[in-house]
Amino acid sequence: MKPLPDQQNRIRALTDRGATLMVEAAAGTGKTALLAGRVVVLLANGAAPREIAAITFTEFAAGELRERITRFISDVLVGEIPDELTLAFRSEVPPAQKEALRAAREHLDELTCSTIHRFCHDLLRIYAVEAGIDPGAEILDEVQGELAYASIFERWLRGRLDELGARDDPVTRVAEMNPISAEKLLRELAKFRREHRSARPLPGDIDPNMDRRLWRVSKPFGAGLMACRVPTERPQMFVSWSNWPRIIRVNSITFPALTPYGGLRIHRACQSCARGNSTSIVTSAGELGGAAGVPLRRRGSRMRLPRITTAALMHFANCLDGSRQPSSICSGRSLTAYGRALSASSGTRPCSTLTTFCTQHGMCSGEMRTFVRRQPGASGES
Amino acid sequence: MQATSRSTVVVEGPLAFQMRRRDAARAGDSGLQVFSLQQLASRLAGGFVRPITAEILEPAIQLALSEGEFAELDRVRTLPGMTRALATALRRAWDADVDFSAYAQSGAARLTDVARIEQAVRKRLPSAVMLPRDMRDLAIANATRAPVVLGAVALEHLAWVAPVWRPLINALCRTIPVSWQAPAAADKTWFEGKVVPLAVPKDARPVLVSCADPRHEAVEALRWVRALVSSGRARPSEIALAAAAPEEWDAHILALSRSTGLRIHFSHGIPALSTRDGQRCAALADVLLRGLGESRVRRLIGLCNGTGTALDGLREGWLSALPRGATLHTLTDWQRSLREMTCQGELVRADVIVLPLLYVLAKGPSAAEEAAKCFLRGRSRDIWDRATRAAPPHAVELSLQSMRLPAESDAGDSVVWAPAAHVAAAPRPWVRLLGLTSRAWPRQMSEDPILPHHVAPAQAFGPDPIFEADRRTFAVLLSSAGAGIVLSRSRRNAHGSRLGTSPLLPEGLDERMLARARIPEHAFSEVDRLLARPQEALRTPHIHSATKCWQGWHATGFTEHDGKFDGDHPEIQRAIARTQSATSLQLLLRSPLGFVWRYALDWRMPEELQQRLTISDADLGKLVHEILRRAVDVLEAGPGFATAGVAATEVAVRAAAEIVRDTWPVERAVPPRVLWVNRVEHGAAMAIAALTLDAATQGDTKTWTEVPFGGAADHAEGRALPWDAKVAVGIPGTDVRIQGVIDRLDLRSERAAVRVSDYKTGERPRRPGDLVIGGGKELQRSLYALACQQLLPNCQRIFARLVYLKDDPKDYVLGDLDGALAQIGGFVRCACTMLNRGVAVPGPDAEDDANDLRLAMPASPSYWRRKNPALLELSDDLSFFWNEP
Repeated sequence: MKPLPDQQNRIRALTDRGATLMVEAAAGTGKTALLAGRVVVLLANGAAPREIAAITFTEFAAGELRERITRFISDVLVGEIPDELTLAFRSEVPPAQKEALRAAREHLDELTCSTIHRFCHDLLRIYAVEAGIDPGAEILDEVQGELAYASIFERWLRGRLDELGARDDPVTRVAEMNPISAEKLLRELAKFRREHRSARPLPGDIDPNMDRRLWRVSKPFGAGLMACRVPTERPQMFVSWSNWPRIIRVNSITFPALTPYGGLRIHRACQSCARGNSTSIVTSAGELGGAAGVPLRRRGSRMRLPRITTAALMHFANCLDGSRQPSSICSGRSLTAYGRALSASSGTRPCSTLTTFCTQHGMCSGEMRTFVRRQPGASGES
Repeated sequence: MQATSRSTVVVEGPLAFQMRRRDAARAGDSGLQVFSLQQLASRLAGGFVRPITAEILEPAIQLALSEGEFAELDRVRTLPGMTRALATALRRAWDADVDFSAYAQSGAARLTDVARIEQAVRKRLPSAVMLPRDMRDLAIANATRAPVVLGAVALEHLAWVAPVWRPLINALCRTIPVSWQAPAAADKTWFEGKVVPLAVPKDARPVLVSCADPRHEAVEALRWVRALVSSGRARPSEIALAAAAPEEWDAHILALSRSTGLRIHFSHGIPALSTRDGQRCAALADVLLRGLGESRVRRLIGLCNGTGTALDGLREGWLSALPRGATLHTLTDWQRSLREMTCQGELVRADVIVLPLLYVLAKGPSAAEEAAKCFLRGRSRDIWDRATRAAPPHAVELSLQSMRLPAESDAGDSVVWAPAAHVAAAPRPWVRLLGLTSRAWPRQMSEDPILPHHVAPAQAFGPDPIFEADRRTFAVLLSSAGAGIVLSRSRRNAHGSRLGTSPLLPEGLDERMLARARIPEHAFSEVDRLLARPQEALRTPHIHSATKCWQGWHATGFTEHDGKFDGDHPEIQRAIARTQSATSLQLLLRSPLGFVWRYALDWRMPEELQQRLTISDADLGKLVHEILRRAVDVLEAGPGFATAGVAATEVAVRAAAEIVRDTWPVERAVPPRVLWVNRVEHGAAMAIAALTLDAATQGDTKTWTEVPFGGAADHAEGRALPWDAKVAVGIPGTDVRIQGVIDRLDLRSERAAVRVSDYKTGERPRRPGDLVIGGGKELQRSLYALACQQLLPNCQRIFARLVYLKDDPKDYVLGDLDGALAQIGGFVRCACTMLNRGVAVPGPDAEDDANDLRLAMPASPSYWRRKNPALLELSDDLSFFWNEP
């Protein structure tokens, strides 16, 4: 028979007892057989079954592995060396090794042949006293574990929700903001913490002056947006934005006293606006409104307005720099002219599209400039 | 009369004990004693000597542990499982005949610790109770009395004798004849007496079967049993079902055997929780661990009725006076509820008896002992004590789960379900072994956590490891089942993972694979038989009708299972003739089939009583309405609502909200306090918004809320209403009468104008301004206006509006009232005609989330695909109205 191309590696995997090896091979190439063979070689060389751990992924595979080891040993003992083992034993097994195998067969039940879970479980059990674990502890199976968790969590949740806590108690705050979704939120948080045991809140990098900055820019921004030609489909959004300075002014007195959670929401809204990475500025408006205690956003109003959003975001970023005030509003016609001029000067970008877009959305020139500036490849900044 | 000679038989396990005594009784063996090895030793040691039991051992270990200052065990000595672990370790060591005092000198820390504990336990024993080793030694010292006390001794079917008893047996061999009927697999090398080889019955070839999962294994086992018994091949007492560890199948066997009509004896005991006594403990644990919920306390009290507790002093049926689903979580809730409780008009005074008990329960698991005293008697009390002794009260639920009670049936006339070791000690000719999978048979070695191999050498401390015991048991069973043995295994476990085969299975056996859905040769129960014979099953009216329904749902046309019935059906006519409410009318128009179910067939969805964390939309509506009603009633009684300012309105609403907040929990299930308080707060905000919506109201306007009309009885009594609420209101152009309660009605003096408002607490639809009747969804506003039209005939102007209270409140006045009423009239006529024709289509609301009878609709989307053409055709006229704004 022609030797397999990886014969040397197979022999090493079977017989090199002094090394730690990793065998990596495609499905069906005989990894399990190799593992079983290696166990048999170890036993033949005098290792005690209780000192060997053969670990597999499933109980089924563990059963098969054990079965194969048993079969290999009995085959070797009756003198029929299975194909998988010919690489290790050649044709003849030395009497000393046979003797060792015979002895091992008597104690084969002491061989650990299990899944990794079972193996760890056994380790913890055997070394319970050393590890400071309850020696009488029993492991709950998955279903019991779920039940126990659910029952404990439910009790905790009801307990927490049954007594009114201090005002800055997070559970109380969550319940106050929205008693309907509070349960869902708390459950999600619990689930998250259960799945990610080491998860901790992100360090608070809240800019203490963010609210003031926001208030400073809110007025020009709101005014700018109001001045834009608002798409008729969604007037409320812009109305909300125009209310913004008022809302923030009203609340700015209480801002320092805002709870961390409210502060966080403002902070998040500002950040997403400032970074321009929010997909929907409507969300930000909602966040701000929520933080300020005023519902701005209605459920279902998270319209996909990416284009308006982009424009608004840029405009907002503009305001936030403080470097520019929103420019005077161009009429549709002057915008078109502007676009035409742009297109002429750059020559590379299809500015007609840009112009159409700007016209459609009634963008003011300040936004337009920013927009053009941010377009990669558009070099026509004036 | 001749004196009978005394003789002794030693058996092992509860099954062998019961069976041997039965045999002796049948054979009239007078003077025969049946003992276990332990009993033999204690008999010989002295008449009053008792072996140590768990009730004595466990508290003694607890006391020993509390002394502390152990070398290695100090860190874990207070942990809850310690007592149990030590008890197991000690018993194992005692069986292995370990002399701890010898190890104590060796200096090994762990062994010294355990030796100290053993010594402490020994010191605390009552004088008649002895440790196995001490008892054995005393028995050996008394061996000369054996001829009188025991007579000839025969060890029957013992496959293993623990090392601790071996010196005693050998000592007996020297004074009396001792014989051992030993299975071939037993280790007899140490034995000095006479070995009687067991007659090996004629070789029955094992049959190997594989089943889908453990439950299927239980099903197949019962089919096999029933086939054997009913064919007359075996008597029940000749059949045994066994597994190495039977717990996995217990629940299945217990549940399935009820329908077989066979008595099945659980030799290892039945799960305590499957009995009423066990359930009583479980109910108590539930209350202690989870608090005083209404349903939990109700269950506990219900189970404890008539068991001789203080609760028996209450009059019968008092519990039914407690409102189901009420929010009773704290002692204060209970106090309030129990004080005022009346049963059939009489004050029950339940608080005198029940409250002290509830005080105990409210203390939680730490009061386990005290609570047991109050609630549990007899066997329940025993179960509870055992459970709390084995583990701390906080884990009592888990301890109860593993608790077993001796079976009340007799092994002598029943099929037995037992651990394999029990059956090996009392062999039966017909045996079926379950669970021959790679892990379960033999079970894998699990080292003792207190005395593992690296601390105490396995040969000395555990001479009979579990896998060896399982192998031996298997060999004994294989050779002792003379008539037939079936080896069964599961292909998958209960979670669906594949399982390997047991290494014990004899080579060269062909496995018969049994499919879960196969048609059995012999059914084990009526249900099993019907499943196997569909034709026969069809003769059962329910199955016949269900099958017809299934077929109907899969046909393309409109069948009687989709809503077809006789034309002019009296039940339909009755349903239409009753006075409709806005709800029933909406159902009639938008889901005619639902209308038939609800009002012709009177189907109701059971109310969910369990306390939820979130309030439903419908309840939120009721909440806001109640706040509004209370607030307006207060205002109208004082200065009049119309003249009250915003501040006065707010004060009234807040006061109303407080009343609602405090009264609802007593009457029904509300969310926990934090959520409830905030929810009421939101409701109050909505109510304020609703009442302050109209900036300017004329001073001569009078306002009512919750105004009944058309015969609606709610809130009608003793109130000055703008009309007689009993006068009928009909929909023009139809015979349908309506009734209802108007959320709010503002009436100018001289009946110059009337305005009715329908408050909406839910989400507002898209473009609410365009709504007329919303395809039948928004009927209330128009119906209110209709009521005004008919009940205030000389009123000049009627405004009907919808008010959405959520977020910023806004109202929408109905533009064309007459048009809307004409539309409703046409709509109702059309729906009634269809129903009278014998057709009820599901309609657009059938699949709506708010439809609580949606459960009765077919779940598969393909149903709608199949039925759509027929439905479209049948609901042609109606669908015109459904699509109207």
